[in-house]
Amino acid sequence: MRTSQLSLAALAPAHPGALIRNGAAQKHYLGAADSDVVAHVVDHTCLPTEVWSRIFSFLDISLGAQAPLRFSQVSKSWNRVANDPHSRVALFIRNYGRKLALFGAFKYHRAALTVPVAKQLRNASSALPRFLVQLVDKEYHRTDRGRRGVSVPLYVFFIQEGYHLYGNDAGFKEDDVARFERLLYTGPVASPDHDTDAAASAVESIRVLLDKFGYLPVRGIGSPIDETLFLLSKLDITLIPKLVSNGLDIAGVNDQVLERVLWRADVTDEYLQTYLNNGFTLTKTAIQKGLQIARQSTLDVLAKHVSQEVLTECAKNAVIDMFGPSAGRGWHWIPESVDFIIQTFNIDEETIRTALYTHPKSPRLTNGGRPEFPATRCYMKTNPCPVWRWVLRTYGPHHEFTRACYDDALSRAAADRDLHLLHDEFLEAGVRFYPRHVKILACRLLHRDMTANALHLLQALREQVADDRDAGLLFDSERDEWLQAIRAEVVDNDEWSHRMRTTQLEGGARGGAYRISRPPDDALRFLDESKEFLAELLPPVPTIATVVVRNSPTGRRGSGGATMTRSPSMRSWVKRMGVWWKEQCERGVWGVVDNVV
Amino acid sequence: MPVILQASDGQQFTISKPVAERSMLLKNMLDDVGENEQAIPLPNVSGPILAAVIEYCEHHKDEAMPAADEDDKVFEASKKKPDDIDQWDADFMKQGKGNEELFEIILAANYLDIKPLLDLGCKTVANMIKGKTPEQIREMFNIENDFTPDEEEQIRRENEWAADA
Repeated sequence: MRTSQLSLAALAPAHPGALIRNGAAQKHYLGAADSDVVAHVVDHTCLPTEVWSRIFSFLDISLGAQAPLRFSQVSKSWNRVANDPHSRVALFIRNYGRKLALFGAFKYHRAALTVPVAKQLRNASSALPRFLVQLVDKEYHRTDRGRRGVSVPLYVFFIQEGYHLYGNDAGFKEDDVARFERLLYTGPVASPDHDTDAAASAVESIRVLLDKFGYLPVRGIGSPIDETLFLLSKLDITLIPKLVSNGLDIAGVNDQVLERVLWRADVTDEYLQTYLNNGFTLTKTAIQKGLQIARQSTLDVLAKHVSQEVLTECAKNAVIDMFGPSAGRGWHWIPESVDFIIQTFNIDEETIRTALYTHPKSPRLTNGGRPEFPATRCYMKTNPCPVWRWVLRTYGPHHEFTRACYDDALSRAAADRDLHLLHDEFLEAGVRFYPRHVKILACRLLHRDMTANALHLLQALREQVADDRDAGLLFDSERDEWLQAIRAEVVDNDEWSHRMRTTQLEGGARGGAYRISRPPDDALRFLDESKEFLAELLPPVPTIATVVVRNSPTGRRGSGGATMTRSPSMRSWVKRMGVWWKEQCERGVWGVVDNVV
Repeated sequence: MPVILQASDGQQFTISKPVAERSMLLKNMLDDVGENEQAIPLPNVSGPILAAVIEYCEHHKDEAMPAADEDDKVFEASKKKPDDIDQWDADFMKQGKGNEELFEIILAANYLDIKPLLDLGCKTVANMIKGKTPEQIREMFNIENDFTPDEEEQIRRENEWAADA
């Protein structure tokens, strides 16, 4: 079919901005709001109000997010956008989903939930499950809510809507959440001797709650959603799609539920398939979490659903998760599990580097340490010792991974017996101290309950260096580094000395520092040992020559009548001493010395 | 049959029908008048902006068209977050685009009714606002503060809900 230029031109907008600034046309294309609001154009940017309203709807309103508040404070026109009910409705729908927008607004942003906003949300098909009406009633009658209380108009709105929806079944004084949880958590499902009839009855009651009263588990009320969903799926998995139609964001809990499924010792392909048939998806994250259990049966099931390539990629990421601060629900570091994954998928050292280091690509410092603190990601675990122990066992005492772990183990401010034992394990395995560790030990000493451990480590350090020196393995450059470290961090460090005598870190109010009237004995010993260590490290002073007394006919007479003269060896010693002194000054052994002659 | 678009500065672009149909405005127009060899005038969109819009549509031409109202679909919170922007889309919005160009693309997407591009533009602006103080936002978009100090305080009190979550 052909048509003329005129007809196309007639269909196209006549002048720039025609559609944008025309309220009616805008409604057609954006399904937007009242024309008086639409007609307003925000300042210089020329974006129409409904576009700013759409931008506003993309702002984050999760816990602690300030974006909507700051948006409203920019200018009067932006403030109008933020206060417009349409904008707020879009914001709630975008952030909580259409079905749960009313619940999210009431639960988390009550002050913004005016009756017009609530009405618009209902018009936009936002759900009003019975438990929400019950929640509103309960909150309205609470007397301790202050400004977070429920306004009378809002309360009336919810009660009217509740009656309209549920009639005599409204049951405002009941508690659907408690009822659902009772059925699920204390009913026949949780019972060890599973009663089939009782379970069927529980399923029927739950089905009524879901079908008739729009029930669904939500964040912030009741038990964790993933746990609830998993239990419900064990009872009757066909209830899950019903929850989804009630507004459940299944993607938000998909991975946690599948993790529970994959961790079951009796998991089979058929069992997993029932979940996949009822709205769950085998995402890469779910596979990663499933692999962490490191069980052959889980691996076999997964291999039927995903390619070996995907499985290997997920295994690498699972290892990275395992080394990280938190590997997820209920997973604790189990060396055998890590070994299983590494061996099964031939995980290379490069992946371990990525998993272990906080910044794997940053180069090592000239002093052998890593530039970032902490060097290892597992430092932030509740107990990183098993990971550091595994690294020592797997890579040996001289590997860079082990050294990084040792640095972190020394730095970890915890009076933990396992950690102190780990220090000794590293040392017994042959891990070396380096001058950079002196500073860490000095800091460690200031912590209450770690003072003795710091002294113990200093003694081990001193012994290690002394052994090297006696074996002729201590080079001059190393000796200088040790000297500098001991001086800078302990012996010549006035600030450290003052803190050591007056302050102990930790143990004070709210975990802070507290003042002490006298320094701990171990701290004084630490200082004494450091001074002794320093003395040991100083190069040996040239031995003084024996004064030889000779008889001389022209010289001064001694008591025995013999004449005493200055020995040539004495002159030589003074000269040698001068040379030695100058050398030490030039090497900086004494620190900065002016006027070296 | 290819579709010819003519920008406000007279530049013409020949594109395939599937690319043109990413725009609901053009799709409806083509449905109404059928295939046509003549250029469709788009007086609201300049040549460079139209080129950028076409680049976006070309890249996404094989994707399923969004539902008439995408919010009616099952809600997936993870896909609604402003941070969740596809890498290509994020790069597309960054490529030498200042505020002015960004706003022009949003306007063009609004005018041509290309909802995914409109959302991408809106998400980008929302991300720009994120973590900034009102003063920084004003500076970024060159907006004058037309509040009195009293009004500012009142606004802060009225909108505390936004920081309450």
